[in-house]
Amino acid sequence: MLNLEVNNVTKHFGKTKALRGVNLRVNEGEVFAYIGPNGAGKSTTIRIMLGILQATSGETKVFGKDAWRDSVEIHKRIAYVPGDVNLWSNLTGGEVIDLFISLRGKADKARRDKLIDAFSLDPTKKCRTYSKGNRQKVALIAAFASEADLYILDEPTSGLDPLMEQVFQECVLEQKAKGKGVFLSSHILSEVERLCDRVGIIREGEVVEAGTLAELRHLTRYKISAKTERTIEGIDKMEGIFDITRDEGGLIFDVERANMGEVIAHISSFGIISLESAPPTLEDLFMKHYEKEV
Amino acid sequence: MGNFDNTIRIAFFILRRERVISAMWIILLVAIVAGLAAPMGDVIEPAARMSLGITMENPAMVGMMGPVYGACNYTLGAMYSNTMLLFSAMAVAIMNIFLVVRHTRADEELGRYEVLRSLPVGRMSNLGATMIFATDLNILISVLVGLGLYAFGDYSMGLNGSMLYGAAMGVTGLVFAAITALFAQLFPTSRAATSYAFMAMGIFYIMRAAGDLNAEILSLISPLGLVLRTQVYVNDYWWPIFVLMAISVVITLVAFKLNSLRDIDQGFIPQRSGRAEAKRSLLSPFGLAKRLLMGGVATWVIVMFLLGASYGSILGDIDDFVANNEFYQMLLGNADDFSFTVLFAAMQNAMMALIAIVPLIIIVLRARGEEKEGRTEAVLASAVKRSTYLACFVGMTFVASVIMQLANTIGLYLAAIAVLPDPSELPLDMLLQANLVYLPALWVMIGIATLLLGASPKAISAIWGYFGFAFLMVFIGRLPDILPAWVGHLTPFHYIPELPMDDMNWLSMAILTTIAICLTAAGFFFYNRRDIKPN
Ligand SMILES: Nc1ncnc2c1ncn2[C@@H]1O[C@H](COP(=O)(O)OP(=O)(O)OP(=O)(O)O)[C@@H](O)[C@H]1O
Ligand SMILES: [Mg+2]
Repeated sequence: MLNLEVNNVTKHFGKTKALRGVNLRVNEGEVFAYIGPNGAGKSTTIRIMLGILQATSGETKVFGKDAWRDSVEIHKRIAYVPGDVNLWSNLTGGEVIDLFISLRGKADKARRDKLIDAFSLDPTKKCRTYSKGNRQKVALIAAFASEADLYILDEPTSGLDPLMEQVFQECVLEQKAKGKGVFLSSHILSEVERLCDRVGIIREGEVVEAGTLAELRHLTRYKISAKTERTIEGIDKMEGIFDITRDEGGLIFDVERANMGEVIAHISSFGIISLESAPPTLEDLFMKHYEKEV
Repeated sequence: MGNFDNTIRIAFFILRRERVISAMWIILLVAIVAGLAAPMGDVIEPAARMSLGITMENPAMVGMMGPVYGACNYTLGAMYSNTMLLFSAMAVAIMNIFLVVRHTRADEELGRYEVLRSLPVGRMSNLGATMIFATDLNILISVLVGLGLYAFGDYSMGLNGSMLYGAAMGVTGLVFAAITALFAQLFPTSRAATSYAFMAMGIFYIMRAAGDLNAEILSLISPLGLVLRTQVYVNDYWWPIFVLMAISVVITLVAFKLNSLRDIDQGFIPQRSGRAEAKRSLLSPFGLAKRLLMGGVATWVIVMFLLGASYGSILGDIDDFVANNEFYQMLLGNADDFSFTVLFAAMQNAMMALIAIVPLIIIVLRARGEEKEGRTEAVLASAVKRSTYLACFVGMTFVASVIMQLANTIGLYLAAIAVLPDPSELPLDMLLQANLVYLPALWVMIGIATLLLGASPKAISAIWGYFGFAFLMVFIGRLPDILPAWVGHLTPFHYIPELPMDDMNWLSMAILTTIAICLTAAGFFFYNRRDIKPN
């Protein structure tokens, strides 16, 4: 069963083409990370999923229902944290939390209080006095205190301190354990790595890659540093080798995963003293997609 | 490092930041205060002026505008300072409240002050620079107003009196700049500082009203009462100016002292904390709209009541006044069967209906404001239908329109029966009919605003243009032959019968109401089908 299905969705704002044919599948009970550079179209995709914006073309289904036509039905099973949390300046944080919970459905007071405590928010303060991080906490508490099947979170932790980031991750993992779905747009890669089952990368309005982290790693290069008894010859003529640098007694280079076997075999013929191979970091992985020219 | 290092540079920096806003204030204040003398002189002829002087002495008018000086020789100057000085001074006070909060507490709240303080500037430089700028601005306005009034050249408005008029405005500004500077130290938010400064102004106004009516001492304590003791264009006393100057210096010094005692971002009066949990009444889209809009609506209901009451309070003298004033006779038209009192009461209905449109438009614009701020998105992402959400705002306008009209009529009626020798001249049911008959016109305006919100949110401010047009038409429409007749037919007001002079016209009521409903429904139709976005 799919929680979310986005088929060939485009969205134009006047001349700006914010989305140029986005395709996404998110399964039930899956934590899905949606990442990409600034202005790539993450928030726009999310707003289309919520029926706040109408797609120029294409089809978006949430829980199998049309995101635009059946939005109210869908919203009964969704909790959303917007990217820019703006609150009513003369309401207190506690009032806003209660308001959002009740607009979504029934309230669980104990859970609400527990979350306020965990995020150490003072709910008696007027929203105008809250810092960015505190406004995000208000939205997060309201979201996680609601009973939802899918949590849609647009860069929910950009203002949180590391301690609160930890609390947030626990909340996500708790929902995941309950079998709930989470759709998380984020720039914080460690968070993505820790929480997410699958990742979708969007660039300039197109999803350029989607899959599990392990799958994505397959597509990239390993960094090898080798020391040998004799100087390695002929490696620059092999396929799938990049960025070779020589230092005393050894070589450092990148290699495509697919060519790994033959390259190691080749090196070993020069008498290996030491060999280190590092998998690509998540940063490397994303940088490849973030940079303009790949 | 001194407490005031780099104060002058900061003052120039403030000048740079203020060049547009303060220039607008200067132009607006000087143009209105100096510019209104001419039309007032034209419209109110000497004979009418004498009877206006007598009207002004009735308690309701004294309560509103202050004591009448020189009533026995009510020159143009005497009339001008009597009717205008208090409000001119309050306008300058408002300018100063916003100015000082903007450069003290608001900057601090936004973190700009912290950046400034990280530079080699003194602890009190920012407050010092703000007060220097405010002082210069007030002096400039004083001189320009003084010269402007003198340039008008009426014999009763000499150089000394005109400069005193300007100085009275400027020194009131200074007092409120000082009070605001003090409040900016006391309260930890710009909003609190602003509201309490306005509250102080309100209290001074009421003290003055009470004082002018029967306890002179209250007026002397209130800066707004004291400033009227200058008796501009009558006796031209300068001493209140010096007293007020001294007061503003003392308050400013206290503000500096408090500023040096406190930490950044702190105040002396802590913020009250609010409720940790919401009341049940908030927990619905309508509860939210009510919470957001109720304060504004209540204020406007009171304003409409007071406007009605102040109109009502002058009805007692209206026959005398109008009998001497051809301009007003022309405005009121000549309906021989009705007294001027009835005609005047009827004329206020159109004006009041126009004023009542303002808050209605503001409510619809608020729905757009919520959208721009991204809060509509958050609400609509929960299980709230778009039409429900919009209905909360639009519904509020319809309710408010009825309540405001009722409040206005009741205010007028209560004041009128108090001052009229023969109260039966204005029966309540006649007043109610004459006032409520404007409701369909208000609803058409709501409909247009809603349609704009739904179909063309970017152009929603155009509603103010149409409102301005309607405003002009209601007035110009009364003056024969200025514009071709059909232009006046383009506003809903044209189709409202003026009761009791005209006959009730149920057909145009029904048509206007239908148009209003259709426009509103069209607004909902488009709102349900468009993107919710800030631009
Ligand atoms: N209401 C709008 N009107 C016009 N252009 C818009 C609007 N909203 C978004 N855009 C444009 O669409 C593109 C995608 O924006 P979007 O907000 O979806 O990016 P994002 O991936 O969420 O970026 P970020 O990481 O900075 O939040 C941008 O080029 C943006 O300028
Ligand atoms: Mg975004």
